[in-house]
Amino acid sequence: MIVGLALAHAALTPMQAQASATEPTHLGAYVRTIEGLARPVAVAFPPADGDSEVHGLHVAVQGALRGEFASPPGVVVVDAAPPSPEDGGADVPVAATIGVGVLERPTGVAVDGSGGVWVTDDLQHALWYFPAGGGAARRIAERGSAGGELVLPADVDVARDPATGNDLVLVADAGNARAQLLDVGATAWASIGVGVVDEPTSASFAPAPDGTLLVAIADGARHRVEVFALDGTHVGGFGDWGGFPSLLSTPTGLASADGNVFVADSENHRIQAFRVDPEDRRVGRLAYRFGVHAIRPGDGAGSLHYPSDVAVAADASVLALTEPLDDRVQLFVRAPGAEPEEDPLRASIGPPAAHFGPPVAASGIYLATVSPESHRVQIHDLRLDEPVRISEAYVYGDRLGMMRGPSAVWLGADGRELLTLDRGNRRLSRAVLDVRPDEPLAQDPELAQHTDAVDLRALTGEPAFVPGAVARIRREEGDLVAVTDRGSERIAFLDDDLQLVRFVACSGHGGDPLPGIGVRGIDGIAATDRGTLLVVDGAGGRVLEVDAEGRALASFGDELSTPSGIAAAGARVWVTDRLRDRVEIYDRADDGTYAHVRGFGGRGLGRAEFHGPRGVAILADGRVVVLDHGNHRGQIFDREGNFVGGFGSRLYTAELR
Amino acid sequence: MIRLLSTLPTALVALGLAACGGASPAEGEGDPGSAAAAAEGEGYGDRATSSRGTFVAEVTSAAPIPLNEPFAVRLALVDPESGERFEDYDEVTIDARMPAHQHGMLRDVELEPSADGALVAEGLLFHMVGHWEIHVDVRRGARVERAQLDVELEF
Repeated sequence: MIVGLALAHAALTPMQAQASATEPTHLGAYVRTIEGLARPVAVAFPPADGDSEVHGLHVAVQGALRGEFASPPGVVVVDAAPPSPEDGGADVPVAATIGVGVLERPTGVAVDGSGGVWVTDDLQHALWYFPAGGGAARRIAERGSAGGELVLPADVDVARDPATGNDLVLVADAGNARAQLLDVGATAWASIGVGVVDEPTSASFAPAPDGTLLVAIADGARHRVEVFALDGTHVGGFGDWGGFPSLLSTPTGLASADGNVFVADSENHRIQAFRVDPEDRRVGRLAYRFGVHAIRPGDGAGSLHYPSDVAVAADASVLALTEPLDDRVQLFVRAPGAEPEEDPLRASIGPPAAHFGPPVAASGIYLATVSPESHRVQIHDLRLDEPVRISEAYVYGDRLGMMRGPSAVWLGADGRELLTLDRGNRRLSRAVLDVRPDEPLAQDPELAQHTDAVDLRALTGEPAFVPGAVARIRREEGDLVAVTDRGSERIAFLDDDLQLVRFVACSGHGGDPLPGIGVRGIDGIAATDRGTLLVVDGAGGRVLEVDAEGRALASFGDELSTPSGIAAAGARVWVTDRLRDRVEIYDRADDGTYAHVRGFGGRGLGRAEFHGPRGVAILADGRVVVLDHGNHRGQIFDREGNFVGGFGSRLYTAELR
Repeated sequence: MIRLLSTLPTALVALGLAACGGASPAEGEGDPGSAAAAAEGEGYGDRATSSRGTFVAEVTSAAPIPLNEPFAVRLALVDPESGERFEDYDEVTIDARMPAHQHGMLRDVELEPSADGALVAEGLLFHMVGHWEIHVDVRRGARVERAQLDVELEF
């Protein structure tokens, strides 16, 4: 149990303290940070007419299920009342914890008028209800694609229908590409957003100017917020992909106050407030925005880093946002003026570092990384000590050769074949790269030729297919392409024409699991030289080796807590552990078992230190590239794990040089 | 070799065969009729085998491709083995991009069936000189496969 949380505090400015009720004010003045939370992903305040303390902030923390940094997933309740100027730096006491022992990977939280707490859990594909006063938890929804069933639920909100007086529960059903609305009084479910949203990352009720209730759904794939009437009628939407004001990049959280919908614009590292009016042809118009990316690693106090969710207290006095990568919640209060005063020194500064997405792949002397800002796959030449970017593949969109969020890459044939998973279009795309390793190093904007792609939902018949990882398995009897489905914890094996060969269950979700399997939270995969597949069991904290039929051959990784990326070459296997900030190395013995050889890491910016390491890839010469995701950089090691170099922006790589 | 460009001196454009994955047919293979005829005249004509060899796309235009002016093309899909018309698909689209500039045309075009069984797209517009790729994407069930033709638009 989390018993105390460190607090950083900024004294209120005289302007804030003197804010008058008659002046226009806005939400967005930084006031304090609650640190030490174990991967907080979602926040909620109770409603104004409820029984709970109005500033009782409910924080969903994902924690870590096992390992030396184990901390239980659950909901932490803290007092987030706006501090007075003389409040000092008092600690924030934990008032309660909810759902410990029940929840495994919470993704959303909401509090109803009776003090009951609703929580989505995407590892369980569940919606949970925890009654006020500690009554028995009730599981409301199971995994599936029918009405009232969920796949990878991402968020939950509650409200009272002003017309009927019934309590309403709204769930972002990410895997099924819809939101679901539960009328608690009528125990009836309705789907909202089918055919409109692709990747609902958040769903929230929003009051319209006429007093009716609207439904807002954030679409992470299309970088928009879509607005619906309670009966499911699509009113319109706002936003598009980009970094300029009013544009969005992977919106992941929504909250309403002051007639505005506040959007956690995660990959733009800011909060944007939109005035929502269904009668306005634009539906949502930007009111103001606040937050800038940290200049130095770990910067806070109003600097934001991938904010994942946002909530506003019912009295609109305080706004809270979560930053899971930095294990903290930041609080913002009201300040004079209709919008924040922009810091002229920071106004023109975007993210100071080019970001890398989590995946990485290597083949020959070539390396593929993903740019979340551009939705492109970047191709690097690594014949020198550090990578030189020689080309980019894909542009943003939904046609062949376009992406709505590359989520995994595989590079093969000495850099000539590129497989990319596209989470927004739920597609596997293939390209050939005209690499020329024997010619002088040169950039080529036309390196990639996009050859074909396959719609994974249509191919497998799984309506909630959510692509996770990809690898090609080399076999004498014919290669197979393995694609993981996060929605059903299954692996689709495709032939070279991208036709389905078999669809293997790794857990009980997609049919009977094969003997010896039972993956919870499938993550990275890697093909071995022996024609087998290594599968990372992310929540189970282990690695499984399976054959091309899906039969389990081996299991290893007692050291692991939250493994993520994996790469294999010969008998050696590298695994990243995202919450322990470590890399572990294993060798396969002749009898087929795996032994831990060594590991290294720890949180930091120095050599062989990491912040949420994710992808890992091995070059032909044995060098290993670890994608140090939270530090926006890559680190390169030799085969024995000795540091040999790094790449990325100067601010984040200075300590490597 | 992925890209192969060859220049036709009688036209404003240089034509290319795009072939990926080793599926490139010999020049003139299949039904050379319309593409070759157009290439020998004043118009545009080219053909390319799709990336997995499933179909051949022939794209022709009665006139040379102009700069910054709308133009129309005819598309014929051919079975590479039988030489007959290829009809085993659910959807076909045509588009064009400038890969070096990371942009496409400033408009979408649609294919309409013509009386002779070919497909016609009107309103294509290449607004810059340089290397354009014409993409013919055919969807069969869950899978999309591309045939790509290269055009070098010059002053």
